[in-house]
Amino acid sequence: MPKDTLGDVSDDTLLVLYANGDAEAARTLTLRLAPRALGYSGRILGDRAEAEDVVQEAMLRLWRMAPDWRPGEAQVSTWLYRVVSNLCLDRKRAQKRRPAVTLDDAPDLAAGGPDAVTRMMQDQRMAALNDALATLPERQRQAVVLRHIEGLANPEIALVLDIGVEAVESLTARGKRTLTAALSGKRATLGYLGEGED
Amino acid sequence: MEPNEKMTPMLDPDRLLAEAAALAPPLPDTVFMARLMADARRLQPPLPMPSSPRAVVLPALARPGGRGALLDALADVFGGRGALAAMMLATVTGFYLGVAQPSVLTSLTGLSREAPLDTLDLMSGSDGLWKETTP
Repeated sequence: MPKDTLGDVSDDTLLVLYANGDAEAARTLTLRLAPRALGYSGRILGDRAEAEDVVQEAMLRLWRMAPDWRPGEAQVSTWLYRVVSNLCLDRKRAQKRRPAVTLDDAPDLAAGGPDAVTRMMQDQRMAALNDALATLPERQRQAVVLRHIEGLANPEIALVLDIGVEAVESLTARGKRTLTAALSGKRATLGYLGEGED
Repeated sequence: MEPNEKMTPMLDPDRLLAEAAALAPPLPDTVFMARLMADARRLQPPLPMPSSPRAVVLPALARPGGRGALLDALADVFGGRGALAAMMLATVTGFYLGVAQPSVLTSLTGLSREAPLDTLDLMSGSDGLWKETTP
């Protein structure tokens, strides 16, 4: 299929095209899914190299599963989030907890973005967020990231985490409370001590 | 006071999460993307071999039921509607010749009832050939 026609093609269709031998479909699907999966796994694992390994394994499973994919039954992105979630959990269980993402690991901003000072402050806020996320229990962290950063709806998160929608609501609510408490301890570190207090 | 109420706006979890969501996901580096694409190529099923064109069997056209269908079936047996019409005409003609009054037939052939067949001279000029001659 011509390259310029694949931009509007659904993930479902791209996966079927891949299974039928269309190399361009693989490229389009990789460019579409890999950054999101990498961002998600990076926030869960807090390590770029580990996140890349997880995404590579998840994409491998996606390609292997492609011939058996039945369009319309599920979303490819949901399926991939689920695999990434499980792989992240496996990694977390298999190793000791590693430090959260440092400033050096923070994602690069696109060129032409905010100036240096604004960017530095943004980096600090994102680092603080990642540190606070790292304090959450695994399932809470996954639920919060999927809901509030990846933008998934609760029913979709329920599919990803293989739990009920009510459990998702509970996880995200508790996660937000824990996150708030964790961030309150970061205020002094980030120079906000004394601000906003009565 | 609750912790979130004392928090500065810059550290409000909702705002931080919204800010993180607005950021574009990290761009995978080219080496990593090359690894992913190599995996995709390695695991991609081969293109299906082009097959020779096959005859397509079209479903039979629906024909109206009843007498029309019977006539069509008969026409197919006898080689078409034209052949069937010719055979029907021959049948009707034969039947007519079989049941028609002789007077009608003689009028058709130009013969009369007054001239019985045993006196009809079919070969009037050949009588001499049948006469026995004595040497």
